[in-house]
Amino acid sequence: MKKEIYEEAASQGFSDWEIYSVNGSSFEAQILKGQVREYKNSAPSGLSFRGTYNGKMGYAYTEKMESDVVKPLVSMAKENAIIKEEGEVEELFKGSPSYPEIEGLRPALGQVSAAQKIEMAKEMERIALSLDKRVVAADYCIIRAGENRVSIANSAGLDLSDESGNGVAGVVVRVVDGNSTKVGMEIWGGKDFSTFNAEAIAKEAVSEAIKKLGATSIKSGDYKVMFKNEVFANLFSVFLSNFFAETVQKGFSLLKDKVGEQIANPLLTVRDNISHPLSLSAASFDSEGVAVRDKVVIENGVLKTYLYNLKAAKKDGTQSTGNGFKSSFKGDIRTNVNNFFIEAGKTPFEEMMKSFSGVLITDLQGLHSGANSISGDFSLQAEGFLIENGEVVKPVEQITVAGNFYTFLKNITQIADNLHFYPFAQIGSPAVLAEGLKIAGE
Amino acid sequence: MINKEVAKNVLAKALSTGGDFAEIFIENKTTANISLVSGKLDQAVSGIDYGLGLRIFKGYNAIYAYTNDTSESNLLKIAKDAAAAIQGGQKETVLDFTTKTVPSIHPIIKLPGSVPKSDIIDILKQASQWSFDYDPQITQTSGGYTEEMQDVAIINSNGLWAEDRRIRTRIYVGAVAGNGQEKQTGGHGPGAHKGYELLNTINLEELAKDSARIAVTMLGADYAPSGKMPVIIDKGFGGVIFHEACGHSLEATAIAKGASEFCGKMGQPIASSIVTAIDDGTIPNYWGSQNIDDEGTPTRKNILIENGILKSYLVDTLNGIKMETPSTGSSRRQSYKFAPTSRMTNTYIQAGSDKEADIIASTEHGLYAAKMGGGSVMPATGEFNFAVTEAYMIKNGKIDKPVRGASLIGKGSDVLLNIDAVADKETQDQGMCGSISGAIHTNVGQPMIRVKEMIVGGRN
Repeated sequence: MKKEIYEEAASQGFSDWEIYSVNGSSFEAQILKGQVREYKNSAPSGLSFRGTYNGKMGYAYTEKMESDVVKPLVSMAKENAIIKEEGEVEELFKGSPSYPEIEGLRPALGQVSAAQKIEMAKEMERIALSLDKRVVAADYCIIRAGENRVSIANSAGLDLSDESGNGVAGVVVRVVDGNSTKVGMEIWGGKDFSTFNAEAIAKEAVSEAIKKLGATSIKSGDYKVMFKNEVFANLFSVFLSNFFAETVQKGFSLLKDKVGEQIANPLLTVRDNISHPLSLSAASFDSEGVAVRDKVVIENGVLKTYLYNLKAAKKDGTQSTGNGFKSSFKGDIRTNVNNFFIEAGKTPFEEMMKSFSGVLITDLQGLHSGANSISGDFSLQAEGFLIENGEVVKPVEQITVAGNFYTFLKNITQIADNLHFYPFAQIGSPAVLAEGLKIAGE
Repeated sequence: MINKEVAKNVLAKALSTGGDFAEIFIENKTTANISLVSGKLDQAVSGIDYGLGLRIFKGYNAIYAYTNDTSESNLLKIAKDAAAAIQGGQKETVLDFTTKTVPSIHPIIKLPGSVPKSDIIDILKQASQWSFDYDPQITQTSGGYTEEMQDVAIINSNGLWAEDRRIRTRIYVGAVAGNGQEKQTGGHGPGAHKGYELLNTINLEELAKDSARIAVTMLGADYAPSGKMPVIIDKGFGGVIFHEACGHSLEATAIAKGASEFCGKMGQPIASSIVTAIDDGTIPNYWGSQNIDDEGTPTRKNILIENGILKSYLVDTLNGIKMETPSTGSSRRQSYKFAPTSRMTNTYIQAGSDKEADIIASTEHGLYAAKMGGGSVMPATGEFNFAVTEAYMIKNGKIDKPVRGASLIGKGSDVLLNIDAVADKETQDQGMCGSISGAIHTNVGQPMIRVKEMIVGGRN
């Protein structure tokens, strides 16, 4: 089909062209009460075409891989090129001098059969239900394995592909004690299933839920707030786009003109690397075919660089940082991170907790709506624990935590050593302690 | 999209190991997106989504498989693999399809693709100018236009052959106000189960100016207070409170598992007696409407709560088997990549008898939430949250200063019982709702309501 598309592009007057394609396969089983409640098999694939028409780049995609879509696909891209603004130059990439070696697909991933995976998930559910009388159900108990191949080929000579794959398993338990109902969740992920441990996952989910039983709200006020590692990662990820050069250039980011300036407490160092031993994701090239590389984004609180794709780099007279990613094969080139993480501090988390008095936040809800990525303001439903001198006073629910991302960065007072990449989270983080946030409750 | 012989063979193969029921969902969708930043084209992407999902039931359980390759050989292979997950006896299946043509109650005037994109861009550029001209503090604008045409066929082993075409169009205008140190935003995004004619029903100039007004107002606003207080939630998108506080918890997805605070509450009061709530997928050309749901059942008007009493859940076929309740025409999915499940369509609190002015005048102190953002809920516990994007304090029965950065939280069962006023004018607004069967188009709506007491998550 590639050849047909190229020929059609040439005949419709495109001067160059590129095909970005994804092919995957995935398996998922959901267990409920010892039975396979849902069993899912899929083989998704898709293709995106882009090319230059009259000096402007047009995009279109298809999931239908039959010859009758070739003509409409190229016509759609042409229409999208024609309406582009003059002077917005986007170019196909010839290739980087070299690409980093990354660990691709592990053969061991595919060696676990569907029947074995189902047994693994059943075991997770069985253990979760047996750990405590107050566990009334495991509402979601899921195991999944997926493989994905990304390829880019263009008329400038680029011809690249990356393979990746991972396994994920998780359980959500519901616990009830009197009038109090709570849920607890744990998700495990790996590049193969060798580190899967049904008991560890079940125990974590159950213990998380049980600890929260009997939670109540607290009085509104100023508290010191400690964010659990994965919770801080989720909060930070809402504001990630402010570090993208294209967001800055369009005037949406408050980090405009801040490179070289102190934007955070000196304790904070943030990197975006090709890979990280704790993370599941790694790519050797971005969606434009530019080699991915390691970079420091914030060093001791000072903003060192924005993240660039080719077009944004050209505008600023600099090089792409290998962050030109599509949000999916359907989209055009935007910006995204590789393995973006907040560097671990030196203090062990347990030690930090010993002297802590305030609210430990273990869950935030409504990140898609309660946090405004442009203003930096956030007000989010939270759960956690009221802590005094390291001792849990009580579990807490029905509170919100509110603040502004930019002032928050400056108000960080401690960073723990427990860096963690939650499976599929965009970024990794250790636990973080900050002042100046407002808790609303009763 | 698929011929009858192939469909028959695939369904027969799917049931060959003893499955109770098999269903094909096939979809061809064309989409076009345009977005502008500060009056300049930023993005133009279009494409074709295409694929087939196959579902098999055995008891309360389901097998799901999907693919983009709809050749007969591949479909038979997928059906065979899916059937292999069921351990049962051989079964002979004889199929005869009766084509169900539900007449469309959503007439479309201008099909996607019938208006040149350059015309749409010109309109969005004009909207951007209206926002910029509103106030010098407007530093950026954004604009967007999305149109999609989804053709589906749903074919099942009960002999159903149903087809539907869903055309949806949405336009977005937004503005950012800034003063060097801070930025605030405002925006509107009306949409409908309509073609380009949507634009004839809205006043874009008003929406563009209002987006700018919200951004500028919020830039000058103080932070919202924190703590419990009476909250007046305005009509339209304010209905997100019912969507989060109650709607999701009435979906069979949660109910069938016993994972909702409203399990076993049928026929009992779960809301204040002035609350009647409805989910209606049949309102002509509304954003959340469609002729049939994604299992081929005609959509309908479901009264969920009547004068405070729980009357109906939202039920799909699979969860319905467990609940021994027929489908309510509520089974939906984002695409062939998702197995369908019970979801909302156009969900709203029905107009009551109070006057808006009286509700405000009778509130001594509280928060007036004029415009809402999205939210979320955990049905098992009923805890929900949603964001307020434009708010004011109420002082001595009058709307006072604007406040910003607040969210509202609560537990569904408490909040519904605490609604003490429902005004007489109901409107609806558009949203995208995300859940286990993906992101779907839903309307939320209500008249102005007052909740006696809610936790306001502000910063003062």
